Amino acid sequence: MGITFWIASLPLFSFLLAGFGSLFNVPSFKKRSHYFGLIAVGISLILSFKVLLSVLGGEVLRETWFNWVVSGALSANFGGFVDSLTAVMLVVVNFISFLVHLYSIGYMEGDPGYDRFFAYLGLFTFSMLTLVLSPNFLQLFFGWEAVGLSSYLLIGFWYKRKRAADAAIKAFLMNRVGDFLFILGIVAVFWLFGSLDFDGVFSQVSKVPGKDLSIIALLLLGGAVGKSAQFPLHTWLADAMEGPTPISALIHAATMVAAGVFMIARCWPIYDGSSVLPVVGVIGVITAFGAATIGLTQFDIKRILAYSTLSQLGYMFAALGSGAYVFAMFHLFTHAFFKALLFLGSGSVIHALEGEQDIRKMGGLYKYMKITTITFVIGALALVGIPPLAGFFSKDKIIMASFSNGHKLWWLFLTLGALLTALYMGRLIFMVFFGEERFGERERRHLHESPPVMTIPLIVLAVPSVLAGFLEGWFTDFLKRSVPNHLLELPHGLELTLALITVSLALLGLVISSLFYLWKKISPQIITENPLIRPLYLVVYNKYYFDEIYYFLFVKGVGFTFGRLLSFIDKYVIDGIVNALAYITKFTGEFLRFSQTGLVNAYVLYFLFGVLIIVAIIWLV
Amino acid sequence: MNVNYLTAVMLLALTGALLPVINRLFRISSVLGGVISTFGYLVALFLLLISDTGRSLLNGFFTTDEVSRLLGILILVSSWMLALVVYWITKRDKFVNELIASVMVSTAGALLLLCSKNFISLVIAMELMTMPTYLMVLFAFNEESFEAGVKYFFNGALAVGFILFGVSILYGMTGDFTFKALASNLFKDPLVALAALFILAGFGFKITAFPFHFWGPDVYDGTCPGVAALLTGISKSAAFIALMRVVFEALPVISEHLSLIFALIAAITMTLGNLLALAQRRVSRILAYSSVAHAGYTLVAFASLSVPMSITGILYHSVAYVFMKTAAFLSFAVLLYIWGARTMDDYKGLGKREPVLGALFLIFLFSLAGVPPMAGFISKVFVFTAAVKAGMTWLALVGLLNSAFSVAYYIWIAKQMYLEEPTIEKPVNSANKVWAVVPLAVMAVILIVLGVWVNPVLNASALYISRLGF
Repeated sequence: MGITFWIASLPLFSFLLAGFGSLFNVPSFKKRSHYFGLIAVGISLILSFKVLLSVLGGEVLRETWFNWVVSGALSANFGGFVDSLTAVMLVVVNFISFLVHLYSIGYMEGDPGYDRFFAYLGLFTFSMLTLVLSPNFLQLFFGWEAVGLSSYLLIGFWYKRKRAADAAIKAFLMNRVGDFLFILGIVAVFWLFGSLDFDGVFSQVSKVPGKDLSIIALLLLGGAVGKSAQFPLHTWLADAMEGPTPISALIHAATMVAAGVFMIARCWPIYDGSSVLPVVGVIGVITAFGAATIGLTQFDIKRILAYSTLSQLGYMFAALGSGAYVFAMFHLFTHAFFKALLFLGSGSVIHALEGEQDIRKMGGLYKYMKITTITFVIGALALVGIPPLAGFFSKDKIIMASFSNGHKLWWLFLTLGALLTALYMGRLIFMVFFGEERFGERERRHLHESPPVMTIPLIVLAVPSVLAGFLEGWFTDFLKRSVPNHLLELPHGLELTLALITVSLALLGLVISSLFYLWKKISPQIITENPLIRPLYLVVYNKYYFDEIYYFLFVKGVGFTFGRLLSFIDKYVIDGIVNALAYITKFTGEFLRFSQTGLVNAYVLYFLFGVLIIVAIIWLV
Repeated sequence: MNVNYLTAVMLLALTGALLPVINRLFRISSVLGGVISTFGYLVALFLLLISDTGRSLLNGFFTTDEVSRLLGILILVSSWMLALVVYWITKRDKFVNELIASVMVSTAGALLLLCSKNFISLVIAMELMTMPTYLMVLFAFNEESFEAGVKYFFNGALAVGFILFGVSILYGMTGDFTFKALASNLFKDPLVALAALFILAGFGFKITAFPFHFWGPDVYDGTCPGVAALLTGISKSAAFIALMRVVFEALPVISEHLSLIFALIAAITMTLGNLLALAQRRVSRILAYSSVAHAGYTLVAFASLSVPMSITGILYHSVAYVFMKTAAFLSFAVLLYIWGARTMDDYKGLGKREPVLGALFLIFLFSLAGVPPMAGFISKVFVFTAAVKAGMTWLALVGLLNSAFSVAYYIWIAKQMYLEEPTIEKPVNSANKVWAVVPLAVMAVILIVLGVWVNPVLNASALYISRLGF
């Protein structure tokens, strides 16, 4: 058992208690369901700090909770494995989860599914902690699927809205594609290594040929691409924004979607031994740049943030791809804080405007909600990468790593991505918080700053968004104990120049966006209506038509054409056989019923005949 | 035999025996009766939990081991849950305390049966388990239950007669009743085979194997479903284990030659059970025939007795079976009580009317059908794997086909519950359902836990296998 068991299972108790109240409609539980979560995750957070301290002292925790299955060579324990990588994740997950619990008390107030929401939150936190604590691939997979399940449940939380239900199914299906590859990867691991324990597998990596490692790495990458919403399985994340906003902050920005990055960092020996890293990087760069362009054209506040999340996850994948595992984890670390802050801030805005999410109907909110504005701007600047905020340190390191490890083209696109980040975040801030007010009289009367349960998490999150960057040296040294950081040293001057380029591009982006949206010197219509650019704009605005292409290829193409063929076979061949079988079965059953006479004498006779027949068989054989 | 185990059995039987006395003297309510019996169950459960294994008592009549301890705990828990639900259903009946008393005495018999090491103690324990059930079957006091009672009694008497006859042959040959002595003294001989066959036939009655199963569906359907839950779940599981001991501990000499008989009986039993279940329209009869079919699955494990995994299969299937069958019949009983739902037509739309009970019933049905993550799935995995390992792939295939067949009628119930519009307008009895739901939910949770956490059963079977010296 031990401490890690309690870290993971406390949120499970919260899930069980809140779920019990929700399932049996216990009124005294309903209004109090947040206490379970707050207390459980709070204790869990304290325990994870304790674990972090002991790991800092040079310990690596290996605990076995219970033996799950032993079958032949396959033996799997449930347990906790905490090195520096996991210790950091534990603190991040519990910290954000705790703040999201707190925030949701205000945000979900009055929702009929209040207790169900907290039950799901507990389930998610438990699953995510199980995932990061896993000492073997089987538990990793368990956690992987469990977070997918809770994500599905929470995206479709308002299941009566068709869009939410559709988005939940879409997320689930897209993840299935990745998870299918992932489970194949795990099977391949077991097949090649004869073990599923991380220790056992990673210590034998050198004995396995690189080609086989590459296959495993690619299959596992499939799972990561699905879970972290990378190109080409990225389309579910934007739709996932149909879920409640605290969920977008916790699951679809800070923790779950980063599971792919965590998994690849955890499996670094496999990736280092394979030749798959460039693939990881290319996927990351495509997502980082492509999603940023889409973010520039959207009008839904949460969707813009969702594309920004995609883009930042792309940066992390690019860092993994260039071998800088530690920098990927560092960006994950800082990004968790400021992206959770941004989402919770946007939730505060949506809450104030009674559910309005279109930034064209906002503007000038600064006057009404000061705390939200200030914290949001801090988060945005951190994301854009303005020094000395957190995002600058982590993003700059990634961009630099791609340059120094010789991926000059990646460097170019990632740097341009930084410019685009500044553009879309500048656009978002100026359209939402500044400029003229574009909402109606009714909303204005309702407008108010959110209650303290919602603003306190914002303020708390703003602190690491500002300061986390200064932990860079400490963080890098700490993580290097468990994951390597392949990095070719650059001359100091060149490093400085690269940082300067990134920062100046970010500043330039902010200036351009303020020209457009704050000072109104140029109208964005000039660009979008320009006949030369318009087609390109439309392509980007429609998210490169990925949804349509997938719809055409898989729903229409495979689903419809192939489905028709299958339906024909099903109707006439399979159904024929099945119906015939069913008919015969039923007929036999009816016939056999005659033997069931209901008379005791008959049964006694059967009994004796039975014995006689068996004796006869024995005698004959 | 461990003192704790014996004390647990005696306490359980005593509580059961005292209940009617107390009731006669003080006219206690069903709630008080429930409290008293729960107390008895809890103390017995505690004693079982702290009992250790491997000691024998009463001159080696009984010896506890890992198997009896594991199954004893599980049977005790399911019997306790059964008592709670039956109390809830029949709380207005003035004889309910007498009924529960019979349940407790019968359970005490089942606990003894689990650790019998001797044919005398085996027969005594089996009769202790069976005698109260003759009474219980009559409990509904109507035509049907009287008919069921008569059938049950006649067939039961016949079965005991067969077992005693077989045992007497064995005694005549060796002058001994203990399993150990029989195992070492017996040799391959037609007379031994005949004796084994008679004993087997008697057990065939207990576990409703073809062709000794005919009484089963009539009785399960004729009596009240709470009693049927005990007959199909607890009695049969205990009988599985007793048969396992007879086959592996007492008659290993002859057992290996019975493999083919087991296989044939298994194949016919499960096919017959499933086919007949498919032809029924009354849910209780469907459950009754599914119980016959499940006896067939267990016999598949018996048929593969040449490999150690057969023991794992028998053990796991008994463990899963005692919970899923008891709970399925109890769910049926509760739905019958609340909605008067008896036939497939009555079940239309019940899932919408009773979301929690419907979901629980579905869990039990899916477990019977062998859907993961319930224990019914993993037990079938072990059973069929054992058959394949023993070189009886054909039997495993028959079993798999049967599993596929059986899904049809389980799904049928699910379809009636969830996809059809309700036909019954008003409940027959509306009452606070908490004490019906909680025991069923406990059983569902145990069923799922045992389906995922396989170690307790695997450990017990591994220890037992090593003791047998496979």
